[in-house]
Amino acid sequence: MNWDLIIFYYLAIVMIFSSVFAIFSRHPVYTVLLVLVMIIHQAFLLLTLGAEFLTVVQIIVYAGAILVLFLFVVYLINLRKETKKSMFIRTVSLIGIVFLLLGGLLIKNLLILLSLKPSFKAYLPFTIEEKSNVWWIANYLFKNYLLQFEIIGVVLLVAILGAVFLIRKVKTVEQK
Amino acid sequence: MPTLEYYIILSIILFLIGLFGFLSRRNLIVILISIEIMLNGLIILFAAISYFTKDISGYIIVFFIIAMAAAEAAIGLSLVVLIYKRLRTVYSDEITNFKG
Amino acid sequence: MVEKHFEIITEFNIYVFLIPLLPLLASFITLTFGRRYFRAKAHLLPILALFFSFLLSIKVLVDVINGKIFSFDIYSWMFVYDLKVGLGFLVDPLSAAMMTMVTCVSFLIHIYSVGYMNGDPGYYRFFAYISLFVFFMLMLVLCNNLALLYLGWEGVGLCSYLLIGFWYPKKSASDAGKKAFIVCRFGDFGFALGIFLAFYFLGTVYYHEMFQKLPEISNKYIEVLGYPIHVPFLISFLLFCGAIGKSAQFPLHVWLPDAMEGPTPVSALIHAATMVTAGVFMVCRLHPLFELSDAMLFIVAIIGAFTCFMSATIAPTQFDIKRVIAYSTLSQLGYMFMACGVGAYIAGMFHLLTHAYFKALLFLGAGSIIHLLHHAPDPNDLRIMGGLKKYMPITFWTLLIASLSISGIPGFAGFFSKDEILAQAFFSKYPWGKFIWFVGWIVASMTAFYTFRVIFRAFYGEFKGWEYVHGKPHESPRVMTIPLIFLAIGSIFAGWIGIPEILGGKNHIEKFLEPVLGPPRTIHHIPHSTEYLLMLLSIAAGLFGIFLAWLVYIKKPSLETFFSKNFRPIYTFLFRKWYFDELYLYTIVRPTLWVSRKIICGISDNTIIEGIVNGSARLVNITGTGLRILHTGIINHYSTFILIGVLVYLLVYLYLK
Repeated sequence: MNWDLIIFYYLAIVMIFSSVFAIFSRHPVYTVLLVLVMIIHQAFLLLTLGAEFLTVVQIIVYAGAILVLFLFVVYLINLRKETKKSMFIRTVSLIGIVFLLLGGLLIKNLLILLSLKPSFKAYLPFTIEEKSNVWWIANYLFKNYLLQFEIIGVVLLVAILGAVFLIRKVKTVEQK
Repeated sequence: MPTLEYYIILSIILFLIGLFGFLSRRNLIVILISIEIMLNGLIILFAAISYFTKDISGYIIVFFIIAMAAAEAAIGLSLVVLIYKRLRTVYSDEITNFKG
Repeated sequence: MVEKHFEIITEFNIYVFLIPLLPLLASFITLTFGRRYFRAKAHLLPILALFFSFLLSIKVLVDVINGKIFSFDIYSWMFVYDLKVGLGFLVDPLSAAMMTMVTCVSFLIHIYSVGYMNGDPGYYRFFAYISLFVFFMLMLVLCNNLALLYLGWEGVGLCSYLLIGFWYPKKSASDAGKKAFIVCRFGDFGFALGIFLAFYFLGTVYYHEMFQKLPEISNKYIEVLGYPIHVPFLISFLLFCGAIGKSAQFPLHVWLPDAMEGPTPVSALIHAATMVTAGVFMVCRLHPLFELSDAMLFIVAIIGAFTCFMSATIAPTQFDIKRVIAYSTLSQLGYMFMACGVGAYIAGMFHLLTHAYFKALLFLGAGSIIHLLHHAPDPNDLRIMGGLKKYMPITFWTLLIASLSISGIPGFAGFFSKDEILAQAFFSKYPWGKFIWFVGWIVASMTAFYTFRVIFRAFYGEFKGWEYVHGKPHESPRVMTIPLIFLAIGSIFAGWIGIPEILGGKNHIEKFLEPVLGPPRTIHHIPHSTEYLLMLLSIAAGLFGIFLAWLVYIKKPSLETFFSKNFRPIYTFLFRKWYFDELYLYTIVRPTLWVSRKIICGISDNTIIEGIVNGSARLVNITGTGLRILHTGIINHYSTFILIGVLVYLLVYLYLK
């Protein structure tokens, strides 16, 4: 039992539990805050995978932007605790069966897939050549994946426009 | 040292938790958050595979996934707000205009 | 005769192109915007278009007289393997003469309609249809191939249908429209087959190419049910079927009298002057084909003669003024076919041209009376007319001119053309010419009789329609009488272009049309004395008919009922139009209806087709009701279905690969 494993177990358990509680929480604000906890832990998990740039991005974008947006919307539409009835929809048993089937299938097959190949030893490949992770990602992003990068930019732009378009003030909506 | 299997199992568990929330919750905002949890599971999978195969592409994909998640959250949340404005509810079983 | 030299122009000529185009544009614009924007001014655009068409056609006619022939394609309409059909025009003397007549008469009738249709709710519709008709008629006349001829042929049929049923809320009008359309369909079926066959044997639908290739098939026979049949005979017979339908010859003549349900200008334009003569025009246009088969010409002549005689016997018994004129149209069309059947194409075309003027005039004059009596339950009824001479002087005099013209009184247009037909029939090189002459001669006196019966009944004696007229009967408005006057001028002078040489004339029309239609097919030596004798005979026949009508309807009115009382069966037979309507009712309409109702509708439609249709609808309904359960409207369920789909795919992919 070395420190790597202990850290991994700590991060994994916190992530799993926080996301489970997030799903089962009756109050949307708690859900968002628990997911925030999960995301920060995941950022550290990415750090153990040698991706310090992604850690930063994860914290800035996910925790700083997306979840704040969620929180903002939750406050905006003033959601209360779900007390009316069950917080799950009525046919949850059917969904549960399907979900378990798919989950079992996924885990079984991925494990079979992994057992066919040897495990890799963990090491940090990119620091060996004395280049940082940021350097590598930038190098690949602006050389090999430039087109995809541009497309993502356009997608983000369209998303911004779409969001603005969708919630603009329309008279007919107001009258209804 | 945690091997690749550890990471993969963690990502699958996260993915399934998100999937369950996505399928079963009534609240549209929680449904969207569930999608984020599923995406986080995928992020771990790609980052781990990238790390263990010494291939930078996985990290790039993670980068893209985060960008996509931002776009998706923006559109999804504006739709939720729109639905709330029109129907005064965000509970999926009360929005049954498509009922056949 | 010196062979006239023609200059054939194959380039695009904007004037020729504009002649049919203008009425088409006017029709489209009027039909699209008429209801909302033009309303009572809907006549302006079509009349203007027609006026320019008329001027242009005169210009083109002058060009043709000066020795030009226009023949050009402007657009490739169909181009499939061997079949090449272009949108093309051919303006030679034949089509130029016809075109000028069509634009002139329709221009006058357009103006007349302004008065006649005044205040009708479908005013704009009327003018749009009638302009469209002029377009199709001009296409029919000016086209240079059979396929385009067919387009015009069907187009005028369509317009005829639309205009006969113009007052469609009236059941008899819509029925008459349907009758005209369906009866013509029998003929047009043959016409289409004729075109196919012509293309099959000649490999082209263009006139000039067809005529060049005619010698190839002149001695060809094909086997039909084991009998060898002469190919030119078969083609021309099928084409003639179309002519029978369109020109209302026996046995498809039944639609024309019923077509009088339409507005009177329509009867004048479509069912007297232009459309019904399309059959004659077609036979003249394709005369090289028809001439290859003597049997075909014999059939043309006999059908013409029979129709001519039959309708002349029916006409005196009818009391509907328009029907009387309609039967006289049938009769005159019979004359034209008789002329074609004895090879006197020029005389036939000549009669066609003069007939257009005096027949349009007869109809419009009758329309003038009908316009006066339009409050009567049946304004067409001759029995409520009478004594109108002093109230409607212009109508009376113009109608009198038309009647004298159709009766063949010397000096009027009808005399020259009818005499030309009779003379050329008598001297025809075909053996049936004498018989045709005899029929024509008899019918000439009958024509005079029933035409003057209309004049005497309508304009002499006492007026009997007081209760339908406010105040005194009055002359029609000027917009109607002026076209009457112009047509009356045409009815006199149109014949003067063809004064025969024995009367000191030049016979311009014969010289004009001869390059296309060839010299008359007569025996070589024609004694002048016989010609004079024939002329005197036909004048005598006309005068005898007029005298008889005067005797019966003016001098001794008691004679009027003499025939109908003493020869009851014959009278009834004639009055019921030889029982043709009844014959068709029992032999064609009823069996068709029976087969349709009992067999096609009862067994096939109700049981099999409806079974399949309703069954499939029920299947969809059951499936839908079942699947409806799945459509809860809740997105979680939908995403679950997507998940199930993924699951199934994964299972199949992983385990059944």
